Amino acid sequence: MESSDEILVQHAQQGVERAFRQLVQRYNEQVINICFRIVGNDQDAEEAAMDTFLACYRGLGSFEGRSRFSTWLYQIARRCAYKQIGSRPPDSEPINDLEIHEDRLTTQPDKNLCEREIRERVEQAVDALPDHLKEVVVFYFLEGLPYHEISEILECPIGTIASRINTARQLLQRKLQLFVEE
Amino acid sequence: MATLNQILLRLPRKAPDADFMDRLFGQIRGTGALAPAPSITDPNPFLFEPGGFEPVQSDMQEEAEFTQTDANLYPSPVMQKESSSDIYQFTRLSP
Repeated sequence: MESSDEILVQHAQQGVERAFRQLVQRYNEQVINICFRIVGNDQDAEEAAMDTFLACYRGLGSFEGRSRFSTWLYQIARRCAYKQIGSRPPDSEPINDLEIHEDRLTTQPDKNLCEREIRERVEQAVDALPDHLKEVVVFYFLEGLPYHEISEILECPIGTIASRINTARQLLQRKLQLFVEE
Repeated sequence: MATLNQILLRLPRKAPDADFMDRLFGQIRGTGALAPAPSITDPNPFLFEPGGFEPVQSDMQEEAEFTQTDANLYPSPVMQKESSSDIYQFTRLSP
């Protein structure tokens, strides 16, 4: 039976290496994918993921378990990823995303696309989203996290998260309308 | 035709490099990463299992650099009650 995160964290806080190793094994794929979507390339994603776990290890003593371990870890991952590309996490919401960023979404519908091409178009559309929308796509659609956890990670009210998800969904559906159901 | 959720889930996922764990734990052990601070709720914070982490002493300069540059990586202890901008402001004002 697998140990819970809480048990592993307690042991890792006491210096038990295999407990921390299990936590890394449990979350390294999610952390790398979150970092990859923010930084946009493999090498920086790997560096950011490495920094995330180093920072996590250094900060474990101050983690008091008031949120889930994964929430705390994803917060660190997000900050490490933006730090890796010399940027700050977005904390403001433009007034009208649909108008402001419309021109950045260059994906054009085309018939007879193969699966690989469709994936590329989808990837382009996601990458073209402004950062504050792209990260809700990552956490909600790709990592499958619930609103309340995304709200904690991004330090935004749940209503803001819901609004961003809705905006991102509309933008992506509009740009990928040829192969996405309404 | 697929739903947006379905089509997004088709995006390829990255897998960590095969040596990711080795490099990570190599850095933890070999380059002065600090041992995790004892938990405030831990009744015996100095208990280390045999074969577990060796607490590594870092020099003061390295520790100061970490404090100055990486303080903004951590959420506040009470978690998510302060905005990111507050954290950055605090970092900027720190000497």
